[in-house]
Amino acid sequence: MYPQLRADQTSADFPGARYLNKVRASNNAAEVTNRLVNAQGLASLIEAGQAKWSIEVRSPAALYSRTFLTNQPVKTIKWEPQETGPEVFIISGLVAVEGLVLFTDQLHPAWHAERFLNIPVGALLARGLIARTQPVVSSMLRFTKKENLARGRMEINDPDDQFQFNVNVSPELFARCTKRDVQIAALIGVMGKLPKTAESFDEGVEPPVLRAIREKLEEGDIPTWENSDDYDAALAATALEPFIVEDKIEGEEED
Amino acid sequence: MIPQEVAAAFVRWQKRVVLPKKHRTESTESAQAQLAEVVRGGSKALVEYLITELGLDGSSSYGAPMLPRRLTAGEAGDPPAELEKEIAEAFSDANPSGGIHPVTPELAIRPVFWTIAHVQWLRNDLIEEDWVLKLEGKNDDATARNACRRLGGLHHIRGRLSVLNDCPISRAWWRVRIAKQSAEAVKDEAVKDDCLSTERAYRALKHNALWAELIGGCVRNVAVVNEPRVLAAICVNISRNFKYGSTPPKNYARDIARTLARHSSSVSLHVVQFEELLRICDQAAAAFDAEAVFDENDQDDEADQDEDGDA
Repeated sequence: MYPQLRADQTSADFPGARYLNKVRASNNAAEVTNRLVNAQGLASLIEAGQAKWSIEVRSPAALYSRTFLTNQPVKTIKWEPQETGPEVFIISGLVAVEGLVLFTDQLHPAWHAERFLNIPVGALLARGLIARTQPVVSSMLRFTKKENLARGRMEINDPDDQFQFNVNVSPELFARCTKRDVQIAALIGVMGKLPKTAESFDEGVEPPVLRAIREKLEEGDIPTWENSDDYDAALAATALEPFIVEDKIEGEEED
Repeated sequence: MIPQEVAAAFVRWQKRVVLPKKHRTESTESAQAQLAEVVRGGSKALVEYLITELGLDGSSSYGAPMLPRRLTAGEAGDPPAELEKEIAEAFSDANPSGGIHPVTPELAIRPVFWTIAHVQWLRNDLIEEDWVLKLEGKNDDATARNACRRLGGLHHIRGRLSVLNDCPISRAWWRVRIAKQSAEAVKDEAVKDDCLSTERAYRALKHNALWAELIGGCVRNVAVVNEPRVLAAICVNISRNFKYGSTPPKNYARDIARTLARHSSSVSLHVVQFEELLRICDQAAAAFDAEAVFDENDQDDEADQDEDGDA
């Protein structure tokens, strides 16, 4: 075992140090930012070329994994969606690219028995977060213009094989489907379908998106579809994506 | 290439004919009985049924790849090695003017894609009719499950492994692809008196139960390893320890993959030297032997989470 700095702050190996890991992604590229704060020992390893940032593009469904190494704190990486499918994760870290020596004076006292540690090539010195390239909610919704749908109406289909719910909207509503209120309305409809949808999956094989939503709701103490008596689609949807309610501006008239 | 409405109809159809046991209804049973009847009717009946259920345009091929030749029922059920390679080769050929595109992972992870392809193959008599008749199981439920699994995969019951393992033609394509990638990933690596050719990697992965174990571990969890060098190391380990055609012990590949996954929390498996990956595999194999001896009298198989047993 080697000391490790973790972006989720679950390790005390580097007291006072932080690893900030940010991912901004589209469907075929991501800009990944890796920064160290109060971790001079690790930073100097990068400067010396002994450690590099490792950025892995991973799609478990397509058995895909490619890793990029860089010494730059900001790196844009690309991949072919045809090779990965839609569900892609970005996993960052700082890795020793050669055998190196790490002095223990900047480490937690638990490491102080030795003055330095011999770190082998490949050791993961810092571990980032597992980032989804598509936000959970937007990955579920797909808006389609339905010409014969009456003005202002919306209907939601069952999900397809990629767990996308097709939201049919009337033509004039389609023009507004990037608006947050329309998207939240669709999300409430989708959340209403989740209890029935979820029960069609056997145990242990639910789509990762469904699992991510359930975990997010549980974190916020919001009833999930598994407690069907208390589950409330509107509450669940607005817990995931709240309406933005601006404070009343002083002097503004009430309607 | 696959219209959204077809993809949605496919999911609706599969959930009509197969549901988890606790949610099964009379309407599921009735849909299963109908599908079983169709299976007993042979290829033509199955093609017509799927065209209706999926809302397919009967005149479109949806860009489905063509099989290299007509397959017997036995070949379609479990293609031999040479045929698997022929299939993978044929699927890499593009013929855009004929509406045929090379198969990509983006398509190949979708059961609907392979099911549509089967419609085309059955319609063109590229698979012997007996293959359809052999989908019949011990009851209608088993028949429905067999049909869904063999045609393309049963995602909502078997998870992401299904399309990679349960559909023999899809499995062939994936196996050849992973073998190629693994060999390619380590072609420049120095391995003591050893090198991994595509053929050797393929042979290591050819055993169906071992493939299911290994790939099942890779797709089930985002934290596990599917880095090509790692798969290459597993292939080398398997080929060193088991003769081609022999049956490796149950859970062997699973345990090696798990050991590597555990290491991945402290080590970058992309950067670590290939010799080190091989050493980790050997270590896992040695531990596996010890467990096998320890558990010699334990006849209890690990509970299969999948209720979807073969009929």
